[in-house]
Amino acid sequence: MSRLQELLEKGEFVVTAEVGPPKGADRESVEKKCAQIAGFIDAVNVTDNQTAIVRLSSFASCLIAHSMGLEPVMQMTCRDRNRIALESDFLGACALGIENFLCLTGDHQSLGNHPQAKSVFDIDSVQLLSIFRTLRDEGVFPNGEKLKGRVVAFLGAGENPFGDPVEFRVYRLMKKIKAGAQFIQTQAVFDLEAFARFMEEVCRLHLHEKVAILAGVIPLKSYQALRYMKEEVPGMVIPREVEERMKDAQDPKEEGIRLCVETIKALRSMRGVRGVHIMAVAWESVVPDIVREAGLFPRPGKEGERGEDS
Amino acid sequence: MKIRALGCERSGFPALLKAKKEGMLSVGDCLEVFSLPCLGVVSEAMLFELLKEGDLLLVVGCPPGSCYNEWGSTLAEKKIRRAQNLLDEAGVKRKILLAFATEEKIGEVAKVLQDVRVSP
Amino acid sequence: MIVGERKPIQEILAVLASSRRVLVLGCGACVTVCLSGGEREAHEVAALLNLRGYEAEYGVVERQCEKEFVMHAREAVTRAETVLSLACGVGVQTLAELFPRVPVFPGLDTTFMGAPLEVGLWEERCIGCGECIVHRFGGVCPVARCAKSLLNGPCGGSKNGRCEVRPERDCAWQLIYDRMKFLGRLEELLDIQPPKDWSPSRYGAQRKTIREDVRV
Repeated sequence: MSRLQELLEKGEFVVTAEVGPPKGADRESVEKKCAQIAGFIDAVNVTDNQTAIVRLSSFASCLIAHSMGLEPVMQMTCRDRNRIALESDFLGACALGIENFLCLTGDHQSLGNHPQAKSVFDIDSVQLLSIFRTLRDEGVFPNGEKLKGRVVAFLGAGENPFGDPVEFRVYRLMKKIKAGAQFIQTQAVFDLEAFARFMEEVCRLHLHEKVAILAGVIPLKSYQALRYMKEEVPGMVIPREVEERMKDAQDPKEEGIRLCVETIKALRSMRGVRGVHIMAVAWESVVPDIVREAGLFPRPGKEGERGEDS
Repeated sequence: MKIRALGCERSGFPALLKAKKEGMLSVGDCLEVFSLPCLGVVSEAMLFELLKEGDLLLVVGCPPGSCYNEWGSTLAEKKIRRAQNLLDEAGVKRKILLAFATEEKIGEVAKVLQDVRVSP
Repeated sequence: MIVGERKPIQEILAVLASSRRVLVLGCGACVTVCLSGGEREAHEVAALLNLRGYEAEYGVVERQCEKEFVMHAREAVTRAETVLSLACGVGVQTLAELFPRVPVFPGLDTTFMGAPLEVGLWEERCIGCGECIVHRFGGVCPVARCAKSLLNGPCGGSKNGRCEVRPERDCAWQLIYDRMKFLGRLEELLDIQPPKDWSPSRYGAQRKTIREDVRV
């Protein structure tokens, strides 16, 4: 069983964070970011060519993280690989000790730095979850052929509670659970009211009993960062109060951290929220501060191991 | 400069005839003046065929708000713009001018020709 | 219908280069309807080429993908040094195949299978996946109209009914949701659609349809 799954089953409020790999083969960059957050998180996600910008692969980066003693969550999107490649990479990752997988649709290639590329989208994230679940639980490929040996995998998916059609989002979540999702990492929460409404629906349908929802948060570095996210990143909803706070802030970084910590504290008290997923884009070094100030340090079972103080 | 002209029966053609009589079209050699039931009939192919002779094609019709057939002048304006773009992209040095005038108000005709003379 | 857009005139001129006698051949079917390659458009291009110093003729055939119709243009084709076809990619290839000795160039960029929604507006509707499943989605095809061909619901990038790719682009899943809601069939969207079998699509192999019952 993966460490992340273990912690969730024990009832821990988990902390996961995201590490963005470099636009190159620079392994030290991944190692450095991992070192910065080690001890402050229970598992680390590595993104998979996020926003269709080519980076060091999630697979390779997860292995680097793993070699440093961290618990990786490998993100896999449907944009660049067909079912053959996805199944193959899954088996490869399992063979090398990666146990957590996040099944995502993937941002469209037109948003990235290789917009001329042909997209794949052979399958979608729901089908991907089904395939992995079947490989794990029934030991067969989609065509019925038996798998050699067994795989251990904790399966997750993403969800954007703020995307349209908003009324359908809970049902899409339901489908992912039906397909095999065991944990969910949501798009960053800035609008707590809207998120609370989503969680109410989730609980009303008892979905929180079937899947562990980890609410996403993003610490904002500056007002420009906020504007970029609002305008360029699909699925972001940022309320006016947050915008004003960042705009008027004397020390934007301080304000960004404060906002993030407040959000985490509010999320912690929401029914059905089993953890937090910190996406400190290009600011991984701030994760220890956030985790500490949110009262989430030390992490369970990690006494004696400390991350680098920033 | 050799000019050919095209006008709609309702306004443009009568305006052109008047303009010709008053010497407005003598900015160049005015070859011929053609008429159409409505400017809306104009097509890029027709404009290019007319441009086989002459350096300049002057098209005159009802002002867009008062086009007898409602959309004729508006559509013609778009087609003329498209035709001019195609000429420019193809490196063909010909101009198509558009003026909205009536027999009572032929001032526009003089104006567009004036602009051409100033910047040939 | 098949929709295509005329290539930029500079591209056409570059490809015609030093030919003199050009036949601009249009098609009376789809490209006439989408105002890019019919008789009128063929005339337009020929007249423009003439102003540019070429000796261009224009013509049109009923359907440039059908041998029997294309042969009507045989004389005009053999008179020309070069043929600029304003048909869709199918027509261009048919011409090239029937007249292997005459250089044939495409004057159109064939784009999609779609419908004319208004005068001057055509939109993609079908990508020929080979296994039509639109009925599962209230008559809106997610394979063709969702940028990611998702079958199980929208991605996280759907906003105000628009797709993350371009704000002018509808989110197919918003359309599907609205339609199924209207039809009282929202529940069906909870069914998990299995992975699509792409083998009957263009990703299988070059496709052929044969009807033995009409062949002699």
